[in-house]
Amino acid sequence: MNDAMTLSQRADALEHKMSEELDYIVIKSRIYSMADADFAPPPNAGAMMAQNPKARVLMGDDPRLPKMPAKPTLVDFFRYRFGPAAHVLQSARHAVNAGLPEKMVLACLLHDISTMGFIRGDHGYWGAQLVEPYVDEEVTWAIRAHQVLRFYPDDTVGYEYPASYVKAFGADYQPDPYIEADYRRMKDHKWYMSGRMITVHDIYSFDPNVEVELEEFTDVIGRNFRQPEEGLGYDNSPVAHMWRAMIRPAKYL
Amino acid sequence: MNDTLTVEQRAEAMEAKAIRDLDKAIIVKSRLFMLADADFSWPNGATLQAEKPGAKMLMGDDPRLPKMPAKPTLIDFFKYRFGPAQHLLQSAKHALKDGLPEKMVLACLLHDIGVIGFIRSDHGYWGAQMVEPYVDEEVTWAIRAHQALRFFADEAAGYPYPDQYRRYFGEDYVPDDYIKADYERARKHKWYMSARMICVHDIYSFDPNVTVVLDEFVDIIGRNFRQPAEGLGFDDSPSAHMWRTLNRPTKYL
Repeated sequence: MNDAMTLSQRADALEHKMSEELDYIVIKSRIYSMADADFAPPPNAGAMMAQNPKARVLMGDDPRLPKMPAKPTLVDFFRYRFGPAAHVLQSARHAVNAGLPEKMVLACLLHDISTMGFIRGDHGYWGAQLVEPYVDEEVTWAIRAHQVLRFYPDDTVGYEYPASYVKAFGADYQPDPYIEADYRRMKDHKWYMSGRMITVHDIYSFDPNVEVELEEFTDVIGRNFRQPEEGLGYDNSPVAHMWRAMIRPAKYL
Repeated sequence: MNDTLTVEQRAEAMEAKAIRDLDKAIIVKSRLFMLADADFSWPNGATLQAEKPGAKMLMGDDPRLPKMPAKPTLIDFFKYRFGPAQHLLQSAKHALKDGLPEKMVLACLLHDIGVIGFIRSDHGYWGAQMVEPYVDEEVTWAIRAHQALRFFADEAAGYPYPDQYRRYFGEDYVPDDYIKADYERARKHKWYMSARMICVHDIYSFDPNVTVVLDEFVDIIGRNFRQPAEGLGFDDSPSAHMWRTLNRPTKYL
């Protein structure tokens, strides 16, 4: 910026720059509006553009969000899109300390990525779907199953119904019938104990003095997560569009 | 419910109940929905509960949203969750008048459910994934492919590049590489013309004097959409959790 500019000129320039940057129109998706209980029909983009003829609906990167690399990796999603990861990092380290196989360490590391980066409700089903093309079938199964098994104790491995659930959902909370039906299917499955192990290491009482870094798991990810060469979202996998939704959550179409 | 109550009294009683339910519930938005608002904050359940003593994290129906039946059908989603469907209804009628086979009329009727009910970005991929367990494979393929084909003219089939796209995205808009790659693949596919037909009947100049109602397509849905007996969302299909998210967009976990 030119040093000879006055403060007021600079403010004008900044404002001009911002108005240029805001020459895009964000139309929220139905599911986002419903989460706000907003049932109004979507705003009419055509009418908005008539007021600001330079504006366009957003079809590229969202200027409000951190830029993603052209070929994003799983680690890039941790960095630029996911919320705090301390919980899954502590779970994964807990699993390492307990001597679990590497693929189960990965399962613990990824079990809540839907909560952290995508959709909370039924996050185990969503998370399993997100990673399915890239991990061992058992890992997908276990991530899906942890959603259900969390609600049922297993004394043989020392897993109790979480005290945090009593507090969060109430002492009288009953899982939905579809969760109960999935539990009945899952408890007799050959991979039951893998799903169960995620719940055992799904620890909620964190030691606030322990910091776990994602770098500790770079090699586990490298050996157990088939990172697509084209980048997550651009590999034409059955779930590529799901990763793209996280890259550009407000894309118009 | 007491039969002596008037309709108005019943509506008031239901509204009062919804407000009471809301007092007891804590609603936390999913990360993806917040990213669409460029909101990078991270809600903490324990803090929210401390601020609202006695309230629990929402794990059941959202009291702000219309109640869904226990075994919801596709039509229930049109009624209680989707936004305005006039565009889809007009497309389907257009296809019907043109003599398209029933399954393609269904494809036209459902091609934009990603937009009217779920996530706008990459809506063709989302819509296809949602309906895949319930429709003919060709219908899924066509819904998925219409997303890419929309951006490429096929004059021989009667499909020019939409004027509306020029206005909305700009004259210089170039589709993303993954769209181009999907177009190249779709162009050579045996079902290319099915997806192209969705584009041809994807009409944008609505006649405001014509109102098409969903009832016109009840039989076509009945014959071509395998409604699960347990209700959409509760049939343990690979996309069941997606329908459940539409049902309860703010479920905590």
